[in-house]
This record gives sequence, C-alpha cells and structure tokens, in this order.
Amino acid sequence: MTAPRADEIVAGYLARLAAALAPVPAARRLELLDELREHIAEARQALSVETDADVLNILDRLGDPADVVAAEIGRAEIGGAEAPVPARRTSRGLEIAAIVLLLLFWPVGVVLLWMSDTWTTRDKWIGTLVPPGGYLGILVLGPLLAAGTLTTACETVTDDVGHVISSTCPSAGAQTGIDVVFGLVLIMYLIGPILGAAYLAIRVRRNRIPDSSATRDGGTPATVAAGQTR
Amino acid sequence: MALDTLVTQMRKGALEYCVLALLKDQARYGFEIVQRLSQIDGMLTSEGTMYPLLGRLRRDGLVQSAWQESSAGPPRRYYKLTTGGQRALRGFKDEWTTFRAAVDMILETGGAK
Repeated sequence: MTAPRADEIVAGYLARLAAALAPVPAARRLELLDELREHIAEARQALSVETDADVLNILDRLGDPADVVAAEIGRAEIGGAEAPVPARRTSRGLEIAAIVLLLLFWPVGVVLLWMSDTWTTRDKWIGTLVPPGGYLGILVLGPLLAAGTLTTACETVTDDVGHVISSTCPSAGAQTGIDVVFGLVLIMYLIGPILGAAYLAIRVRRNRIPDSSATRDGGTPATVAAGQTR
Repeated sequence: MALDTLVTQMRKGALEYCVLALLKDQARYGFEIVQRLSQIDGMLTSEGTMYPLLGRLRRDGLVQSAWQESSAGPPRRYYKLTTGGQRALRGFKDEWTTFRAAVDMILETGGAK
C-alpha cells in the first residue's frame, strides 16, 4: 500500500524535525520524534489506499517542524500571537559579586567566577590567577613573603650527597637587589587584583554583545535556549 | 488582527483543558486525541503541537502516560488524567461556565438586567 515516495517524504520530514529540535534536551527530543513518527504511522495505517499526496497531507496537518519546536520550548506556536523573545539575562548580579569578592574574599569570588556563564574559560583562568588570592591573599601571603625575604632569603639547595646545587645566599651587595624584587612583587600584589578585576569587568561588557554568545562558556545558543525551557 | 490574536490566545488557553476533558473518562493515545480535536473546527491548527502540549501536561502532573500493546501495530503511549488533572479540569469547568454565562449575558442584553 505504500505510495512510491511516501517513506522518503516521511524520512525527510522527520529529519527536518530532528534538526529543528536541536535546542531540546536529547531524551525529550527522542521522545517527541518517537511520538510524531508513531502519529505518522497511525495516520498512514488509517488510509485504505495511500498516495504521496495523502502522506504530504498528513505532514501538512502536523505542521512546520518549527511550530512543534516552538510549542515545546514555550513560545507562541500558533501564528499571529506575539512571542515573547526569550530574554537574555540582563542582570549582572552574579558577575558583579564575583569581581568584588575576587578582591575582598577570593575563595568565594573564584567560585562565583566559575559559576557564571558570562566569561570564557580563558577569562576565568585569568580571573583566577591574575589577582593572586585577592587582597585576602596579600594579607596572608604578604607577611609570609616579607618574612621569607628577611629570614630565608639565603637558601642553599644541595643534592642527597651534600653537594651544593645552587645557592641564593646573597652577597652583601645583592641584598638591595632582593629589596627591589620584593618591592616589585609587593606592587604586583597590590595592582594585580585591580587589573584582574578590571579585565573581567571589561569582558562582561564585551560578552553582552549577542554575536559573541556562541563563543561564551555557557555553550551554543541552542543549549542556552534549551536551558530556558525549565 | 487584535481579534485574531485574542482568538488564538483563547483557543490556546482552552486547548489544554479540552485535552484534559477528552481524558476524563478514559485513557487515549496521542493520535486519537489529535483526531478527535481535529474534527472540531478550529481547535487544533498544527496537529504536531499536541505532543509538546501533552508533554507539558505530564510535566505539570496533570496527566500520566503508559505504554500499552495495540492489536494493530506497535505499542501506543496512552495518556490518562491524574488526580491533579481531574482537579484542574473541574476548576476550569467552573470558571469557564461562570465566565461564559457572564459574557453571554452582557453580549445579549448590553448589561441591562
């Protein structure tokens, strides 16, 4: 009873539907495809004599795959109705908190930084490593560094039979060099967090341009859309 | 235009309760639900959108689905009302009856008692 091109026509429709359903989570996508495949099979079974036109009619009644997808992801599926465009998240509370906490309370700041989908992975590494511990880090590391410079500035490395491999024991003149290095490190520690935070803030603004959404860490626009169905 | 939109919205809003009503006394499978609604003019424009709707009703706990063997062909997914679905249907029916009576009354009498 199968019409000459019926199977081909149905397969084509299901392929278009599968492609259109890309934003839908995989398990649900397969379920919907199953249901529509079944629907088509039932409808074809109900025909006494099947022609290609009958099959086209069945598919026509099912509707454009885009309508099915729109119904699934919660936009107006029936023509004419104003579809609320899924809003891009405009609130930046998480990002602002992440940047502020990176400076003030680094451990929490880092967690927020990685939770946000605003930054790329590269940005996140820069954000994690450039403000080295934020100002909390300075409070902890600063005194250690200072103490280290004053007391263990002279360090001798030996191998296990006691031969000297390297020694950083300063000659009297080198001590000023260490002071300079220490000063530079201190300045880096003071400025680093600010620079890191400024970089992240700039990247937030840049990532608000919709065109860059595909490269955002949050994934492709498709997975973002899928996330909005919840 | 504005009227079209209104009609579309009303139909869309009522459709899910019509589906619940179809399942009030018996479980039905997807194709059967679609067929019944399609016979009623204007209720279902894109038949394929019924399946997302059924999925939403199930996620909302108003219907549940189960596979059942069919005498003709592959097993079918049957949908039936949950207790929550029955409650939702009763609630809609009450509201609808009141609303319809009120609008009818005003349309017919111009609000005169």
